Amino acid sequence: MNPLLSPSRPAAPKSAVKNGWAGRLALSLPYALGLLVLGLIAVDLGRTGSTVYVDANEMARTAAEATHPPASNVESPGISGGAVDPVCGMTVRPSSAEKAVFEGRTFHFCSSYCRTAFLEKPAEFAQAAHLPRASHTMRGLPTRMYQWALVLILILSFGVIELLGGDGKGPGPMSARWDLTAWAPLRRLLESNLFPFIPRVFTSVLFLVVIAAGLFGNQNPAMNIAPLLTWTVWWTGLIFAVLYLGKGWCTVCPWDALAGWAARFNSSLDLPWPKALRSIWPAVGLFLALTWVELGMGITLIPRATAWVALALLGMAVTCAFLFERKSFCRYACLVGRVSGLYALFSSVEIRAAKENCSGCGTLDCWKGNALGDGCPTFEYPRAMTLNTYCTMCAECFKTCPSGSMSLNLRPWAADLVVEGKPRADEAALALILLSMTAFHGLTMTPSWVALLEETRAATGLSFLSAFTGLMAAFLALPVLVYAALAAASAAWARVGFRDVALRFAYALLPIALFYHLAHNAEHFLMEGPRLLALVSDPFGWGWNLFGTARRAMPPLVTLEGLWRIQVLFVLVGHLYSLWITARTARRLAAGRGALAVQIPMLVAMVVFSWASLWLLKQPMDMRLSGM
Amino acid sequence: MMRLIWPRRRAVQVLVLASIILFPFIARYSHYLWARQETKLLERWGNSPAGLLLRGTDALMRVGLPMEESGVVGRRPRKALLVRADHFVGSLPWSARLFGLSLTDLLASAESAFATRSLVSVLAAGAIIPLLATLLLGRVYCGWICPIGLLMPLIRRLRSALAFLELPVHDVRFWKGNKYALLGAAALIGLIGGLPILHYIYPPAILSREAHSFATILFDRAESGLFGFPWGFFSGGMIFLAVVALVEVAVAPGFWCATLCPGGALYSALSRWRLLRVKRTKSACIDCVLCDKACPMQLQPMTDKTGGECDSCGVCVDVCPTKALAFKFSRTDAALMALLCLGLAAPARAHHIIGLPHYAYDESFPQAPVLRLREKLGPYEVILTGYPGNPKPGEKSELHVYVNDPATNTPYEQQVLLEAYRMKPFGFQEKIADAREGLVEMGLHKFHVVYPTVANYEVVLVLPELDGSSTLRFPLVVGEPGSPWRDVALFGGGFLALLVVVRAVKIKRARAALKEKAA
Repeated sequence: MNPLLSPSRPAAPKSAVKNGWAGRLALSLPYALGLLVLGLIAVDLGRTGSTVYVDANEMARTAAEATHPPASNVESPGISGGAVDPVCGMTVRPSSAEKAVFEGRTFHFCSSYCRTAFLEKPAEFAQAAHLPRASHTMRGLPTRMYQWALVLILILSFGVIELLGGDGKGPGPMSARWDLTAWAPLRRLLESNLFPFIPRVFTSVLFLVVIAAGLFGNQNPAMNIAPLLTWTVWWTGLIFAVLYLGKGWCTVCPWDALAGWAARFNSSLDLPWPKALRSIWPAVGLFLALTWVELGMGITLIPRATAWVALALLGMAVTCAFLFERKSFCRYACLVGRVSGLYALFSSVEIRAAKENCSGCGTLDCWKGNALGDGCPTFEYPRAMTLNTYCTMCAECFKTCPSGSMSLNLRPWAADLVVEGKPRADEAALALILLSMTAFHGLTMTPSWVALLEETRAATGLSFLSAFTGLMAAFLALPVLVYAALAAASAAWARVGFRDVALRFAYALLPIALFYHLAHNAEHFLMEGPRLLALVSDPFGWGWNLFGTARRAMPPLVTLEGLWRIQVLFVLVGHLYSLWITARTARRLAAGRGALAVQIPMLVAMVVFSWASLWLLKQPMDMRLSGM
Repeated sequence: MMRLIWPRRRAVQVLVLASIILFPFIARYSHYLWARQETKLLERWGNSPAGLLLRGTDALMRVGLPMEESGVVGRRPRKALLVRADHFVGSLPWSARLFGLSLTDLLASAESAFATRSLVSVLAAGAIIPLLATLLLGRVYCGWICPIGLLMPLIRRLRSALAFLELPVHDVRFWKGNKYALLGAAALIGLIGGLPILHYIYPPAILSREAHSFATILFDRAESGLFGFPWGFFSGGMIFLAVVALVEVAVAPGFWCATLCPGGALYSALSRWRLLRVKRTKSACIDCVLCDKACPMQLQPMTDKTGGECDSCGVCVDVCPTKALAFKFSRTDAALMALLCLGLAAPARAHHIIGLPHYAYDESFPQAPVLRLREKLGPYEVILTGYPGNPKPGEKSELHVYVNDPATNTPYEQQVLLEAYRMKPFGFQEKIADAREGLVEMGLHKFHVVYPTVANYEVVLVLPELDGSSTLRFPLVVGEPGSPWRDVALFGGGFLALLVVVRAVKIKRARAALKEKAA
């Protein structure tokens, strides 16, 4: 019988607490922001770039030819749909780009800044327009925008904090919830065995195709789907997904799916995970290792190495599935799960139990499992779970719970960050490392990084990899040291324990890290992501044309100016959330003037980190994909 | 003291296997000697695998030869070496020429006789010694010379490992007539279709072919400056051997030689009236059945009418505690044996006559490949030729550009510029050679390019005086990427190993628990 048609177990009556207007506002804030960003993209897509005529006579001539617009000479050879900026070399969307007409040819620009540069010496740029380019550098935030954003951050940080945070005691609007599983079909889906089995089959097939493409496909990374899909779409899209879907990736994760199926085929030894490793330090180590190979070895540019990383992770997942009980790998060692798990504290969905309904339950089925499903695979006790960190949203607890207590809720962003949880050193460390590593990620794509690396090599005589490793360690330590110093100042000033301050406020840094991550990824996603369209038709780079899109180069989705607006918006939102969580955390640690004392050095830390984010966005970027 | 037979037998088998591995290198070495390339290559290849193998072969061939004064290698040692190398030609232990004595594998000559419906005198002459030996001594080839007789028992030792890993091991016995059916069918196919097929599945042929192709690929690649492990030499034949080995280990030990080998069938059929036999002393037999268990041909030496099946390996003689089984080793037999042991090597050269199935002796003189790319540009045809075609990183390579209008057959006489880029991931390009003009000789533009690393490159030709589009891009690969199958095999193998180990641990655990319960 189709489990989707089977009657749902009755949902437990939930306490009918009405969400107040503030709660409803908090609930809708994520979607408002999402719509705003989509709106910015739509407006940018719809705009028509202005045209400047270098020669005044040109205008009259072109006006006469208005019915036959001059053909652009600078379209990329062999591909349709994009034009190349003659100044910076970026591929742009001709319709929305700024234009200039010179000697009968129309040139398209990424932004008015490049056009200004062009108008200064048009002949030179026009002549060089057809030459092959080694790479292109993308402009960063213009100075004016950068300064305005900085001023706003300062005003927000030191002018508005008193309005935020309430008394830090009651949950306030953050307790607002909207139970999606009150809708019976969704509940039935989550209780059925087809979820998450069916989506997992899809992702697993896709995963194997990507591995095959990486191993056997064309090793030119621009012609192989594996690097783009892995590093530009998946690894960056994952962070976007966390905002709205929480740990949705873990739900459909092909690594775990394949490992789980393998372990079902030949059941596990069910050894307990070693006590010494019962923390997320293994995952932190893997995350650092991946960042190192990703940037140091440049595997994002090597299809086969991309496949190797996927296979190595699959190997670890399968080995752990065979050896250890439940999904120890997901809980302790998986870097994807732990990074998205920490970010998921911020996300706008959660799976929780109705606690008032659980108090009478003696079965412990959600922990132990029963005939209908497994006990929580990541060693959570769903009945008492308060944080998203380790929940993979696999919905096993929906299947096992005899009384239908589990529910999938929408909630305001950052809801878990204001819950009084027990701060853990490993999680706090990962939060700091996320902050420094995402910033480092951005830094390595700027020309200043190349210069710094070369200078270091020249000064010390180290090889590329050792110089890279040394600098990576330094940039890993820098934010940690800054943060530790300010935490020490805060602890001394307010007479609170250093450990308490350092661990608790590390969580408050998460929104800044997350939104800088998003701002950085928006660049990859919006500017490089559209290339996926062509690669989908020829994933292996073997000259296929499955969907007829292989020869179409999608220009970036937005213009540079549109991108900058979105990036600044992200940084500001992240900073605002961090401020607000800082305020609440401070008030939980100390009362009255103590709260202010503990808060001020932390505010300085927030401003420093957001400033660093903006500075990084201001830098020009070497783009991964160009000139193709 | 009893004199055991197996050490002698193993010694002969090891010698044969060593010759199978060594002969291809000697063949290539002699080729380099003829071409007067050997000292130059030794110098150039240094301590790469190819260099070490060539040096080793050289050292081996020089054993006992006097070096000329002050170590200068002159004309005479080269001649002596050539004569010496010529004594070890071929592949198969009986498809070889050793000290001027030509030997041809019986199966090969029979099959080619069937397939061509004619008897070639060279093949017939080469087959005389093996034929006589088989008629007199029986399947002595199988028992004493064939490398499979050495390798399969070694591989079968994995059976205990399999049992330790709790994997099922079977002992299936097939019908011994299968091999005659296979031989007959192949003879029919050869006769009707003119198609020799048995060399695809005849293990000694596969092994020696692989040995030759290994040497060929290794040295060919070294000549092009590639020194990695030549994974490409593994062929379908190796996969077939692996499958046979797998069946031998897990399902039916000894099945190949006893029941399926077409060569074995031929030798069995010919050895019905052989002289060398195991003599039985029925009165001494104590029915311990040790010989039945030990016989690799799945016979019962004491009771069977063995017919031609016995391969005279002497295992039963060694194992018999009461000497009820014994070889009668006459002096003539021993002399014949010695002759055979010496007759190790190949009129593989003979096999090259009229398209007979030849066992892989590669006599072609390989040249370093040349790169040649052709492209149309306007009315002109542009030909880019590279020397060497497989350029080595760090070494100067030469590119010749010839631009010609084929309609009027006039060369393009204006400026031709060449730039070279290293293709970096995600479309980045790094210029490694600025635009420049080449040396022009008779309409040919010559450029020199040094590729710094193993990578993909693009050579861009610009003809600035030409109207319209004036650039051409030629892709080039310097060095080589490894095989992706290696990655797949590594991962798949690791996965299978993990699967097996976990399963074994679980079974052992369950058994221990059961034991504890019982106790």
